[in-house]
Amino acid sequence: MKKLLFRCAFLCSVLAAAPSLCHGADELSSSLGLYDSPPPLARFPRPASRIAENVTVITSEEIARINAHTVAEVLQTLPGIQIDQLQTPGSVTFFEMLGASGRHVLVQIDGVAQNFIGSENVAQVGLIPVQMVERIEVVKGAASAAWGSALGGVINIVTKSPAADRVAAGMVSASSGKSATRDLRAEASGSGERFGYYLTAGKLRSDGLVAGNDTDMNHGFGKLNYGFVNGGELALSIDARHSMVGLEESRLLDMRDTGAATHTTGNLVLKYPLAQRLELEANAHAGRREALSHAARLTTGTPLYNARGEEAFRGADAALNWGDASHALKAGVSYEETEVGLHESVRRLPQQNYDLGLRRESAYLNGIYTAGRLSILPGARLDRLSLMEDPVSFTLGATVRLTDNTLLRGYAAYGYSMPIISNMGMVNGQVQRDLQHVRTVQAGVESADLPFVWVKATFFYAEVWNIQNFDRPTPKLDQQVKQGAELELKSSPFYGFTLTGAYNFTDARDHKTGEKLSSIDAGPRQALKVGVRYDNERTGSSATLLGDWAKLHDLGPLGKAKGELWDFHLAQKLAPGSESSPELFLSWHNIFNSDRYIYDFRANAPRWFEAGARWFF
Amino acid sequence: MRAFALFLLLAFCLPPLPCAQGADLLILESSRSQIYSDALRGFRSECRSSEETVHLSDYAEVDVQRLVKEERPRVVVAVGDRALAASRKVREVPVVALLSLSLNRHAPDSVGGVAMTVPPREYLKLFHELGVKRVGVFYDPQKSGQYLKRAQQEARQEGVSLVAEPLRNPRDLQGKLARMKGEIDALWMLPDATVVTTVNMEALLLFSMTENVPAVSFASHYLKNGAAAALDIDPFDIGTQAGELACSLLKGGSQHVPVLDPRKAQLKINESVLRKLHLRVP
Repeated sequence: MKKLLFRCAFLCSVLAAAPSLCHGADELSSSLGLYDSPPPLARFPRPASRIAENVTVITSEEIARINAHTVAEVLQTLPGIQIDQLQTPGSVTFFEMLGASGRHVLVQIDGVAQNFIGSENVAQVGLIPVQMVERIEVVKGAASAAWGSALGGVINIVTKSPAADRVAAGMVSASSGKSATRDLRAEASGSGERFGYYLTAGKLRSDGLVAGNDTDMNHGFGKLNYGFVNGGELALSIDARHSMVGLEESRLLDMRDTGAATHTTGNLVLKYPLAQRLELEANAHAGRREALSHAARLTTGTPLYNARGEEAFRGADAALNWGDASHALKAGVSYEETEVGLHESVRRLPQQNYDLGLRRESAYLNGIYTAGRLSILPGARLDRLSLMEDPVSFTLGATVRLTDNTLLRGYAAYGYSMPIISNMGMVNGQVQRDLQHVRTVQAGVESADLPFVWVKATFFYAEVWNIQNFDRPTPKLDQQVKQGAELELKSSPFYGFTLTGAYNFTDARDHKTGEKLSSIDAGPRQALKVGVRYDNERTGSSATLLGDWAKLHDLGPLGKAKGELWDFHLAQKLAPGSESSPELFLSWHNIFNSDRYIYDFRANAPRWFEAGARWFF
Repeated sequence: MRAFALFLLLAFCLPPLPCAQGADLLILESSRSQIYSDALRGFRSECRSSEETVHLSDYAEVDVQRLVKEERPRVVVAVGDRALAASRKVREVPVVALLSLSLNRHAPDSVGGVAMTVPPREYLKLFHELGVKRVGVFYDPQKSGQYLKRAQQEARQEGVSLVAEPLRNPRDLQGKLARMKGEIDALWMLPDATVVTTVNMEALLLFSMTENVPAVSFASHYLKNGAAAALDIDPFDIGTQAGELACSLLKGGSQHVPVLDPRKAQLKINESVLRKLHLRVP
């Protein structure tokens, strides 16, 4: 810990040596009596949010600051989320959120679930490029009443919309780093009379920062918008991604595992105002996902495993949204149909060879009722599932506004997550598909009333049961208790410098034995994330230093439980005054070359450096 | 579990207690300055509706998209440039901007308001009264191109000839200004951020004095430095206009927000400069 503080202080002092300039009002604004420049020292970092859940939002501007390639790299910077290990950009990766496994977290892009039901219900956040992302909203904690299968939380990815004030705008970006890691991207966007378009395409490839971890991702995303006269909007989007990934390699175990994944989604979204404060929201979507996995002996090339998982899905959702900030109702129905198939050609086990169809029909109702400073937020959802029991989810939240910028929040929820619906865990030809349930309570406080610092504290307690565990010879359903706290802090900028910090403590145990759960299943017991940001609008410079320390529990002989990872990102506009200035950027990852991973054959990336340029026009 | 379900049912069937009202208007004020307060006084005199006000200068960062999602206003009112920039990604509700230099006619359908530049005809009327025929003006085609196009069309009707020089870089002004010697009878200063820098304003006013041509400005601030006349905007009236616009949006119908010219301009003059140049006092 001392070493960590010393390193933090050292890097901060390096940054502090940078020149700092105060903003001055420009001639035009001051001549008119307008003083719009951000103050050199804002009294408060940000206003407090007013919702019952513990939500973190990250915007495209913040994503660009850290020169991220994929959503996994962005999530790693957020409090309460732990990526198992960041390897080469574009890798397959797993994560935990406040003690919940990533497969219990619903990941959505514009309302379309990305969780691969046939692949342990995991959404591959490492295979989602960030260029199309406008913002990511992370709901930490059970959110089934609003979202369905979301026992651990929701990662809601909102894609960019067409540039509203220009006929044509664009961006090109290229970066290159260690092990021929290259990221090429382009973007075009604009709006005409009623129509708008947004297009992006890119290629991310690397020879692999870790042995056997080469990646090659091609991605494209397009969106067409039509704006109605009354403010409604219809948007059609196509998302296509293909990745080839080296998953892992171990000389000790004499094996190499490679994979490929393809995602194709078409999505039609309608937002249409029907009356004052009454809006119809609807979407219809369809697509395919495919994942290939091939394991073989390193020395002989003998195949060990050769699987192909496929998923075709289609669905629709319609909701009526009525009300304002004080009293509102949202009522909706949704339908989802998924055909899942897995075929493994080497061992040909029945558990790994199946085709099945899943149908889900849902109805939900969520509301807000405010009396004075108290808001009550009830919610309920009914799901009818073709292969499993029909779950009912509830939530009851409350917020109390102590002041305009200090909020007490809390909620209790009963929710569920889909089990792994494959034939894994088959006993005597019988497959158990019990839903995984959660009972949770969260409470916290958020305040933007303290001068120069914004603070958010959250305490959580969750009981989960029917958690599938296939690590034992006989598959078993576990019951677990997870409780802990999260503290987030952010300072006001001082001479261009902003400090951020987040501390998480999670105590995850088996409910029956009281035994602490391994960090493989529940993430770190303790995690600390700190950041120093520097911005100078006049010189067009921005710098970000991020530190990430975590204490992992009971990893076994192949893991590395402790280690702090430091990343440094720098960007410099060549023409600071211009909106379309070319920008140079560089990133120095894992500065101190630390190790922290769960399995040594899937180690985190060592120290590596990349640099690039982007140009908006 | 049953108790929880019952509690939830009760929550949905709450009796009609006196419930709080959500705000119709989300007002984003760039800073706590007098000019914005004057404009908002005008706005509120015309549009009395429930509102939530956020002073952006109190905060280092404000995620307006999140605010709109949480506050669910029916109209966002952006006062000042910083507020308009922060609202540029808002799509769910119309945005009415005022006292923002970056509001132009390229704005998307849902963003509009009251511009800060007095309409060209007011300036042309002033040139006519001053008795000048050839008027030199610098402008950035990206920022003021559309305004200049309008000005040129109206100038022909008023019998005024505009000597318009496009300027894409503030540093180019000095050279282009030298070429205007003897070609113009008056200088017209537009509120264009590319043109208006401290160095350029000094150069323009120096040119006006040495070449004996009156400089007509967009702000009375320059009268003390040698400008002959200025057409000031009236923040209160701009607020009133924006209030009318916001009220019409609250009444429903089209969500298209037009960009309007300010309807009121206050003429301020520097008599000594006008006398020295032997020009008629308007």
